[in-house]
Amino acid sequence: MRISAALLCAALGGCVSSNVARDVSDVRSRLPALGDGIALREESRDTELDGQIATLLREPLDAERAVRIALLSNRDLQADLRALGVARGMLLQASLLPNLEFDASARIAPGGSVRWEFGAGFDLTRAMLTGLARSAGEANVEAARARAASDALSLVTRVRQAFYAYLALVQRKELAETAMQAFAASYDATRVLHEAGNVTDLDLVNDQAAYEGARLEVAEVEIATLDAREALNVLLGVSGEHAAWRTDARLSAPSELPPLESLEQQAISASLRLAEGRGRIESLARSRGLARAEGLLPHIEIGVTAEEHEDSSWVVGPAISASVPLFDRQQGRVLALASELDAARDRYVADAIAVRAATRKARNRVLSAEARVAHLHGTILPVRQRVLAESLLQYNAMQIGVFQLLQAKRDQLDAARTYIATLEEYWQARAVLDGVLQGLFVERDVAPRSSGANVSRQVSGGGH
Amino acid sequence: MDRRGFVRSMGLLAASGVVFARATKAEADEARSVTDAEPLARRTIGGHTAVHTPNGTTLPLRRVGNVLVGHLVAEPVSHEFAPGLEGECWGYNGRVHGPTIEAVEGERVRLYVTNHLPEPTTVHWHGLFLPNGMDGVAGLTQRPIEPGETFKYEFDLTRPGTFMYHPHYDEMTQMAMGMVGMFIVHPRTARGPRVDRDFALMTHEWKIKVGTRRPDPNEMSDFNVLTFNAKAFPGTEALVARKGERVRIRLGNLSAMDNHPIHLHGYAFEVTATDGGPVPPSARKPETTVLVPTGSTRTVEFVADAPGDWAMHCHMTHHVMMQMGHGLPVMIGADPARISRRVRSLVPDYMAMGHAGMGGMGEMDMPIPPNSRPMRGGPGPFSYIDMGGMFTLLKVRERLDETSQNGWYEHPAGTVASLASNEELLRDGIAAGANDNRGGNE
Repeated sequence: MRISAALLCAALGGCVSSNVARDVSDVRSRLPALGDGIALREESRDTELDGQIATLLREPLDAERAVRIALLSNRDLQADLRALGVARGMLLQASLLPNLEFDASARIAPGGSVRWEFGAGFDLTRAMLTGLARSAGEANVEAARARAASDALSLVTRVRQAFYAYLALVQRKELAETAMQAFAASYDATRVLHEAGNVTDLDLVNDQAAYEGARLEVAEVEIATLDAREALNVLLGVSGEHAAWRTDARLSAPSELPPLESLEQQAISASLRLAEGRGRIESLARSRGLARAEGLLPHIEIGVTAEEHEDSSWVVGPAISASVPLFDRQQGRVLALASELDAARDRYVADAIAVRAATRKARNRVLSAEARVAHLHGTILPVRQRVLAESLLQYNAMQIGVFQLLQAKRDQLDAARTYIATLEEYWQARAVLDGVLQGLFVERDVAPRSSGANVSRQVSGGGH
Repeated sequence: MDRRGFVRSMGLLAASGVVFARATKAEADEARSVTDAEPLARRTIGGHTAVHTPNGTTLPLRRVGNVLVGHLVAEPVSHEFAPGLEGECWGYNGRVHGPTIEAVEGERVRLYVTNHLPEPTTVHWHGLFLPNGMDGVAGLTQRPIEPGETFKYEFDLTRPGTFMYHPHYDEMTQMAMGMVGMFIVHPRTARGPRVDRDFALMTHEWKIKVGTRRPDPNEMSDFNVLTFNAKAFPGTEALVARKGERVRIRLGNLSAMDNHPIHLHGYAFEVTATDGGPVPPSARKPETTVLVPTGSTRTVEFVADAPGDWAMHCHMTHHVMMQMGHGLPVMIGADPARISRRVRSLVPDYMAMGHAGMGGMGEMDMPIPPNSRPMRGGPGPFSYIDMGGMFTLLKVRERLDETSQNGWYEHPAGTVASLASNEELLRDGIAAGANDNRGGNE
């Protein structure tokens, strides 16, 4: 009965829909936090989607706006989403009945007379196995959906990280420029005192060296900022005037964390990699079943044959051919698929371990960075401000000179740079944690992203 | 017969010991009944003008039998050096420095020393001749006085002079913390002209980092608070005399490292004694500055015949600057605007200083660390007096009244340096433009 229904469905060829849009909708449903942001571009919708992108770019960029732009505009993601069509096409192909085959032959007698022979055949075995093939294809589509969602989530995480890295560099550049001003003030003062005959040539060149070093640091941070902007443009998928977006965002204080209980279980449940793995395992299991069936079933073709006799009469009758699975029962293919299946299972377990470890690591990094940000903001920065204020009092009391006062200012700026670097570290880790809890798979050999701003440059001051 | 003649005549009967002793005792007891609350009122002791310790006190001595008994309590003391600068010091009897001990040659004194310090102490009677075991050197002539203990020192005052007392256990710390005092022994028989005003001034040096409250006993060279009787100007009490009075100033120095050349304006004086003894008149020479080495006393005398407010100070220029920092770049001659322009963009309250000298620093109303008086001086009758530290005044007046101690001298007309008028400049051939107003701090 099942075979009959399957055959009927396959013959009709209309039950298996090529609706990729449903696959995209499924991908969206796996990432509810992104709303309807994921879209597969079609020529008919290009203008509409480009309009949405332009509207988003009119306003200053923030992390979420950048994510929405990337989901619409990033062509790598679009290419990844096309894999849905590939899987859907493969499912469709697997769902189709084999074509009828026709053959014709002519026998030309010595007298010139021609005798025709016609035949028509149908691969019955393949038709009978269509259901199994389709089943394997469906599992493959499921895996493709999970993989597409994972690709989208990976893009989202990378966009957020790139945006935070860019913001950190913008703020680092501001601080570097202020530090350069402090070195400039020190150098200016030394030049004035040198002109008055009050300090040595050594003092002068020491301060000049420090100032020039600070200028160099500003230039280095400037180019790093520009590089980060371009890296973000690549992820956003924008160019031309769209690449001239602006932002007034700043790295903000840490936000409220999601509940940290049962984090690992949350991550396991949400893991798109594991969902893909399950799909792949199911697909391989069904493919192995299909191979076994193909190996055990004789390959049968049924058909009709018609032969013209010498008296121009036709003889018509059924035809059947069959191969006996005596030697080739698809043993090799079954074994290969069984090994692939075992490998997929092992990979699944390894991925689950990696998901748990990545979850714990992301949580640890977020908590550590959050604590350090709080300490910097609540203690170190105020203390450095107090050092500057007390230094000014000591300066007013003529216990220290202007150079020591400026050093206190530079120390305050160094503390601010550490704060920005730690704040960036928090948001980078937070992007990973949020991603992991939505199903992101953190590649095992990829280092955490950052702008490389964790260590502020200590440029030595003058010799005063 | 004046009091001096009476005493001299009593001295002729000194061999009997009775009449003189009784007179001395009576006068000594009478002297001790007058407090130091009235500095202009002269007191006497043993027929001599009693010593006045500006900003200080005299130790009460009580007669028990034939012995003068006194009590020194060594203890931590909170002390004000000048308004706005207080220190957690060590002293005696609740004061820094310790009270002046004053007696007469021939007396026997019994001095109890109670130790309320956190470490052992002793008292060395600097310059006095006494039994070796009373010399107060810890470990050498006695064991240290442990915290909580009371020791007894007893000896005869066998010679007159200006002496001092100080610990001889952990001297570096205890003396740096303020534990010093003057010990005056008047001669049994007066020598030389009668002195009408007798002052004791102990010079001392301290390191008190700006914004702190504790003297640093480890400092060896960068002292920043210099004092007379543990006070820095304007906290120093003026020495007041009436015109024509003979003035004696006994200078002691128990500073850790520095000698002090004490200069008196308006007068030449003679050094009449050291802590070694009197200087014979034939060996004296006129001075306006006397070098008081550390560990020494120098006594000077002069007649206050010039009225006015006369400065008296250590002539080491850094010793009359309060809490001066010594690690600053030289700013003189620098253009303050060029420096301020950039620095103010980073530290808005910054103000360039020192580019035209440092005379006005004390008057600048800028926020400074608490409990500090960096570069501060005091008010004067004409303007701010930009001196502090080891600086005081000798005020000589025609008549003494209630304004003499704290009031300013009223100069006779035409005796005050003032701005030269253009007419005067022209008359005396001084170059035109001599009155141009240039310079000054930002």
